[in-house]
Amino acid sequence: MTDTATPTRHARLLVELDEAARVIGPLWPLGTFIAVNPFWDLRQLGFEAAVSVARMVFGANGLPSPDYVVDALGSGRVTSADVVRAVVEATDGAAGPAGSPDALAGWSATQYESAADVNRQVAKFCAAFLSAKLPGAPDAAFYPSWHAMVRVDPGARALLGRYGRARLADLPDRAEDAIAWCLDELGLDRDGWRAEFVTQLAALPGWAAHAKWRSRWAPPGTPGPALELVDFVAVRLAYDTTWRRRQAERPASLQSRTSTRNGAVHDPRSVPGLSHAARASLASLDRDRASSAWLLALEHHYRDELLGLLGPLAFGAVPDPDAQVVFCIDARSEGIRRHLESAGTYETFGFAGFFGLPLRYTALGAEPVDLLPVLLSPTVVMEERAGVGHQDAARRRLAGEQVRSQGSHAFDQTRENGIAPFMLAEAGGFVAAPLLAARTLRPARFARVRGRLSALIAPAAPTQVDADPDSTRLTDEEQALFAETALTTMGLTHGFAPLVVLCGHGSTTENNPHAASLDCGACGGNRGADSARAACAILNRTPVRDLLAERGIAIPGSTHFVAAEHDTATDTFSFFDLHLVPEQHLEALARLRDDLAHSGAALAAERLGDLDPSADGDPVEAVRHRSADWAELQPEWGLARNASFIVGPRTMTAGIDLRRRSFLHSYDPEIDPAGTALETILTAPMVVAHWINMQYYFSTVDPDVFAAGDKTVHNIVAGIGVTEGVGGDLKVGLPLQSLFAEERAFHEPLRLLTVVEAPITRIEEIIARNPVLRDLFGGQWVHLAARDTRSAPWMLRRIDGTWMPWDPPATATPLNDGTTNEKEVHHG
Amino acid sequence: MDDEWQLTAMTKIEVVVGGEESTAVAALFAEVGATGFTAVSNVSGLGHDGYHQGRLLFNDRNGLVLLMVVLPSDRVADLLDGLRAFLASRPGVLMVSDTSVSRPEYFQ
Repeated sequence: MTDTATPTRHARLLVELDEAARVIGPLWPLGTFIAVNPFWDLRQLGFEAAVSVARMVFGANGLPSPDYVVDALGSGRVTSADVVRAVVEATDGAAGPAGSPDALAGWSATQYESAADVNRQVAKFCAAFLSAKLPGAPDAAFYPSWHAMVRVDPGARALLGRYGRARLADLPDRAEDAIAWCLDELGLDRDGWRAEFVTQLAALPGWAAHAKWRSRWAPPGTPGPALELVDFVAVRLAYDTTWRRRQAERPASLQSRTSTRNGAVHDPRSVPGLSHAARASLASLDRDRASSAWLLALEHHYRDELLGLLGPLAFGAVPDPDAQVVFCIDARSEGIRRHLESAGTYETFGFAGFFGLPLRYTALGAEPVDLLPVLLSPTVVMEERAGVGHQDAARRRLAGEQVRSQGSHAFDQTRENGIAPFMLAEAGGFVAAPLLAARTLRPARFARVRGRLSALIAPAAPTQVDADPDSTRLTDEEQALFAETALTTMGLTHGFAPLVVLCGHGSTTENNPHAASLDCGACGGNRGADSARAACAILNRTPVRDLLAERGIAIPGSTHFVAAEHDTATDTFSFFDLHLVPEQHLEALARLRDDLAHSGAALAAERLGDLDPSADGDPVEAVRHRSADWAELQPEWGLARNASFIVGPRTMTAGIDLRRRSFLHSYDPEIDPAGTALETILTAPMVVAHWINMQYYFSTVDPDVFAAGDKTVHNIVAGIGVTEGVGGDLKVGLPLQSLFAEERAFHEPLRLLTVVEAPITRIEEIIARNPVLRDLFGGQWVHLAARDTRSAPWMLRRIDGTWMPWDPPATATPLNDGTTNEKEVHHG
Repeated sequence: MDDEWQLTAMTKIEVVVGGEESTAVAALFAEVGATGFTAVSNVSGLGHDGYHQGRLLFNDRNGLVLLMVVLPSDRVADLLDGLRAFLASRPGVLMVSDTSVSRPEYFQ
């Protein structure tokens, strides 16, 4: 029995659609692409239940495959002893999988034979709509735009026949009415709505993920055509309903998608090379439990090595540093911190790369950009202005940028017009051909020449970020609050060095649609320099420092904050607003820049070992070449192999080679008795790290479903996503080349291990008052290890909230006994 | 209609949900014809899940938000039906009360 179309019914439809859309993760547009946990909205079910849903809905394999564990076993990333211990834990009631069969009820999708044909039609219209090529663009909604066009669309006629296409044309004008009509036509009552919506969303998960972003995450007022979930489902359901109704007149052939991907090559219980004890342990489990135990074993192996290295002694305390450098928590920062600390008397910190400012930033002559984690809305507005006395230079720069931008726009317009590209090739080929040859054969040199040309057209002009209360609409008091929060959260409230550098990061790559995935996630997939500049502008203001001093944070008048940016593709560093640096700091700054250059070169050599183990020659030139080469598929490894999130003073990790696998968040438990800073760290930076971790995880364990496919065949659609080849679904997740070296997984799919040095009672209080943390730790999305003090033993949190002491295995790396501080966490 | 103040009777619906649910609730408001609503982010209070401090500094989406909408009484049932279904699988608070407004045309 079905209801008539009423607002009540529509409200219910929206609720069921929202519920169904929990199986879809949001997909950010390419320009601000960030990593997400594809099952974030199912986190309440727990990891294992979400993996079950992934199997039922997408036919996905959410656990490392037997092939993967064979490889890991062979390379020593997991051992038989790890497996035995993991099986004990996997069968322990307090540590076993969360979720229950009841929780999984209603999460399933059905695949129809017509899916590919229907998908082609829907994807075609999605792409046209987002390219503003449908009537009413860019303001009209998707469903009415489609509805106006489909009545004359030959694709609809080819799929559904003349009569079927006429039925589409006769659908109601509103998306909600059309959905209601289709559900009636299919004879579904309310109990069946959600499964039907899941079926529609799962059929085109990429476009659905874009719609999910638009409907649930896009900031209000986001420009461009808005593909909303309700319109997307209305359109797909319209085709599907019409087709299924047509098929009902003939024999219909349905198949469950879950049955199409179940054929595992190996049984996880009979992996070759295991000890008798490990084999016997696994034999007691069913197949799914055995796969879960393998994941735990891999995670335990990494955990035991890491905790074994984080011993009771403090290393790297720098009593009187020449400079303090604050890097982003990004795992890539660990490498440069390690090298810089060994190059001189420098103290480094880790803090989210937006430096605590939820910033809407307008660069000189540019449109505003939001530089903040997607968990936040912008509340701070700041602008770049011409430096005092440099207005003429700024005008020249703006004029040059305008010329450059007009030239680029004209070129793009010409390329997109019918016959013009041929004329362009004829007219410009004589100039373009040698340039293309140079760009292909000598990319690093070409990039340098292009940079110099660019500087000639738009010469650099000294500018500064305006932090005046009148223009930022932030009072001195509010600015001081931001500063206090940032400094307290990172544990930098005393002992300021004369020079404090806030160092953001970005990645320079060519011809890379997923470039934003290599930039700063805490800055919303943008480069981090402007956030650093804005924070420095606030921290250098005298009224802010006066207020900070009243709150117990006394920044000496001789201390100056300087903004910098680490290019993670080339391991080079840029510094900003140098015209504002007082003269007495210039010498120390020059020394720091020199040390950073050497540290960057050392890091480049280290990274090149992972990127191209057979490379010889100058590593600095090699990574620059990769960065500038427009044919390069692996300009850098990004955050591949990320595995842990470590919260504590740097003295806990200094001198230890963590192989760029750890997000490092500075934290001083002594100055945070109420746990405010720790709560902020666990509920925001850790959540972002978890998203990154899960994006890499799922993209690796089942790239067919969760990765973006092969870069070599990517086509950009409407500037918002990529398809593999021509048309079809948008690809979600990370490209294969960000995860795999040839056929072998480079990323090691492990759930994040959070390691905290703080009183465990404080940690538990924070978990107790934050449902998101209860979900993440209790649902085994994130593992948690902690110790009360440096000398206390490591404790492991079980999912029921109890803690057990970490029992180091006999074969684990011994605790750091102070005889050496040069250790590393191996990754095979 | 209140004789002295010329007030018009309406119904106020208040919902407390997780910040990331606020867009879905706002969509329900829009579906029943509400032309506006009020949101207060990072609210605190004691509930089934314990005390919510409302002090997540760098995370707007996992704190709690209070959404308020005022509607003519004849549209309340439509919204309530949707909200009750929405809250069936999520933590949240739903409050309905009579209220009066001085500019009813704003709430039609």
